[in-house]
Amino acid sequence: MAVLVYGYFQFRRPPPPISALAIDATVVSQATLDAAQRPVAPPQPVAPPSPPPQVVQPVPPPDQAAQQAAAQAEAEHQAAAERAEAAHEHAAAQRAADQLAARKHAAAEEAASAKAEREAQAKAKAKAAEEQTARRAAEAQAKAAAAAKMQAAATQADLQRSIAAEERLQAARASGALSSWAQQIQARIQRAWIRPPSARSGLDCTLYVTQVPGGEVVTVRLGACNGDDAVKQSILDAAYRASPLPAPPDPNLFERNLEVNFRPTD
Amino acid sequence: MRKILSLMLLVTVMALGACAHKPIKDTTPAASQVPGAGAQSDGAAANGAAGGAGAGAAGSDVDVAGPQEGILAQRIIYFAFDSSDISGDGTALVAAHAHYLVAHPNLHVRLEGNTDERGSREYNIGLGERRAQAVRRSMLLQGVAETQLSTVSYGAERPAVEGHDESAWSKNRRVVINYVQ
Amino acid sequence: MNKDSPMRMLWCTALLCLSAWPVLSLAQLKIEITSGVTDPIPVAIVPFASTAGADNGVDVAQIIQSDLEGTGRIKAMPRTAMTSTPSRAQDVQMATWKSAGNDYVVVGRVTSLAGNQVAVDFELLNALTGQQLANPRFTGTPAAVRDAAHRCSDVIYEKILGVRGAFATRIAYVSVEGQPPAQRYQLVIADADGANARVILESHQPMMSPAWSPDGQWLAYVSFENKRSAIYVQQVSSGQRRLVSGRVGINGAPAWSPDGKKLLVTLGGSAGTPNLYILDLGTQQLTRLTDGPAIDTEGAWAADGQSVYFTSDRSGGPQIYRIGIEPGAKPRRITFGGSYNARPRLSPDGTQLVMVTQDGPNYRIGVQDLNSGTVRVLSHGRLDASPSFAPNGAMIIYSGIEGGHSILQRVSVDGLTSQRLRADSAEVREPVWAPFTRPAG
Repeated sequence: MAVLVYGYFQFRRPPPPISALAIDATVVSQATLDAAQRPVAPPQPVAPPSPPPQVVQPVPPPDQAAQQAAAQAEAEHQAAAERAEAAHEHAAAQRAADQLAARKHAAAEEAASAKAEREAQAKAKAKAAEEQTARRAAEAQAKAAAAAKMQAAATQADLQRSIAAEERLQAARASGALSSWAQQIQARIQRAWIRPPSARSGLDCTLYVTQVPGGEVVTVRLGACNGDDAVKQSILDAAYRASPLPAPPDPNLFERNLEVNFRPTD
Repeated sequence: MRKILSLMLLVTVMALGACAHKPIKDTTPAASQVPGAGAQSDGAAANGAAGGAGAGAAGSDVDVAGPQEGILAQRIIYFAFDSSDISGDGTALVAAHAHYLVAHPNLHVRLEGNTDERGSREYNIGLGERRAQAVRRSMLLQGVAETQLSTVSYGAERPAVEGHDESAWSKNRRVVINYVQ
Repeated sequence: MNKDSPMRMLWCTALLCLSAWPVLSLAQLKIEITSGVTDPIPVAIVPFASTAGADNGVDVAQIIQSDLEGTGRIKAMPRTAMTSTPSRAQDVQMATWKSAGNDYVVVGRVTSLAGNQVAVDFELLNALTGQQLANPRFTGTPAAVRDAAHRCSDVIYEKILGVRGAFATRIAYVSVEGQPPAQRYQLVIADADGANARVILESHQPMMSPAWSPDGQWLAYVSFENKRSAIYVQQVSSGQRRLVSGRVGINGAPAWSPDGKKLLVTLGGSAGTPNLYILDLGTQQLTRLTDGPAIDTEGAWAADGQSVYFTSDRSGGPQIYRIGIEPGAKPRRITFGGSYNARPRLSPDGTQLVMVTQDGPNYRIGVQDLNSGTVRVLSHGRLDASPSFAPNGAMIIYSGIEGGHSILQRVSVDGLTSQRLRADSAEVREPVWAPFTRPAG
């Protein structure tokens, strides 16, 4: 029983998370599934954002010292600018030369790169083709996975329903409904079993009884029995006399097959 | 049920009339009727086995009238329930007859012990015998010879009064002194 | 490669099965039956058909009904409620009988055969399962139809209750008529239901303690025909008898050993102290069993013939003791409840002891279980006496006083059902049930 309970609770643990897959594949994540399962809350009206507060910067006052400094700075700036210009011209010339060399280099490079590019393109094409195949395969697989996930989802839904039923059953069991039904059947059969004198303590007989909803006994079959003919007869008679058997308090509990053990204690 | 009643009635009628098998009437035992063991007065074997004495003291079956004067006409000693003690009137009566027997050593008495119907019948045979023996011992103590006395127990088999209450029972718990030949 | 989906399927299936396991073991709800009832089983015993005169005026079905109802285990359907009276199994519409509340149906017929013979046939049918359980035939002279009816009862009883029937057996008892001092005593044998009564001894002197031999052919008894007690054995069929003990003093309580070769007797001797002896009927040898001044009487053999039970008042009042028959054996007390326990008789299986026990101011029939020591008081009279077991151990016959008269009572061993046997003008007492004389089955 412990194993069964353990197994049951094992099943109840959430399944392992699904890892991310290939490019462009549509991954149906657990979160999505869950989201699909759970009802999505309708969108709520959002309040417009309030304008950010403006910071006003203070303007600095004019200053004579500052004016002289500024003029000096300007002169220095002009000189620097002239020097920079000269440097620039020199640089430009240099640059032109460089550019020529570079153009030559670039042309060579371009040729090379064109070649490489062609190669790359070819490679890319191939790769693209490969990737497309892979993509398609992945897509297909993903679709299958999606379908499987859906089915799993459905199975899981069923499982969860039977889990829920099992839970109710357990609850009913725990509350004694099943045992009380068994007791009612026991009382009915005990009242209906007319014990012959030879049915003494030590008797051990099993009777298999089949009933239909409504309690009518439809078949009886004697199993192992250490009693004499009269005892065996009395047991068969008891099952028929007890018919119809009492109904279970919860119709979900109904059981067609009964195993009735006759073991008188006195 | 009715069939049983009428059939039982038939029994008594049949007993009087012709039966398929002739019922055996009471007879005195004759030698031809006793092949083998234990004849009526087989004193030796009985004594050897039962440890008693007085072979030939069995007494006869023939009752005689015996003395009729005064107290001697009374022959019955009564007893309390489950008791073999002689008391009261009984003591006087036993003494009177003992005295008479001492005076007439040729006379014999058979002391017949009885009980009321309560309890099991064979046990009552034993109780009746106990009462008869109590009277016998008392007489022996008063000088009566052993050979003059014999005892028999009828238990509850020969009540003096039919009935199922104390008025009948008290009349049945008795020893009868019977003078015999 | 994505392996998760099929694996997941497998895992889910496996776990579903695992979780379904408790549901599968529940698929046979187990019920434990530890007791039942002993209600009477309803049986329809349909009047037997009879060709003219074949049944000799005997209502076979009525005899069967009285036999079975007397046990308390069977309840017969009233004839007035029967809407048809089939006499063959094939004519039985079982649904009708079943809906009338019967668990079993008996149908039968009596037919004449050549040579002044009569056949009694019947079928026993189970109304609940539809099975035919028995269909025997008993043949004999017309005078034996009543006996055949009892043998039908035996078969039906055994099939339904698993215990051998004792309906085709006999009893013996003492009958007394008239008033003291002119009583008339008779020793009578009859069928177990009191029918076919026959006197086998008649006397003006008392007789008591009849005892059947194990082969059912002889009766031992105590007779006072010679004005003192003596033990005789008489062959029932021929009337032939012989004196076995006429010793001085008490001769009483004869009891046949299980092998029929010895008689346990009570002898008092001239000292008047009753003790138990074993008398060998062949050699005439006498062996003393008990000694002492107490009253030791009413011996009864254990089934193995190795010990005897008896009444003794050695402890002050009557109680039941047991002693081995070997030399030097000492008696052991068996009864301890109450101040008066006497007249032991053993059940055929040796496990029960029936006796007279004092219950308040009353003398009643008690049954003691020899294993547990428990005593059940079975009867309700004031002066019940002389109990005797039926040879199947299912009933006890005893005497009681009713309406001022001594009658016989048959009671089931559970004490619940009884029948009276009485004579209108006689007191009947000391019944003793004969053993089986036919082999079983």
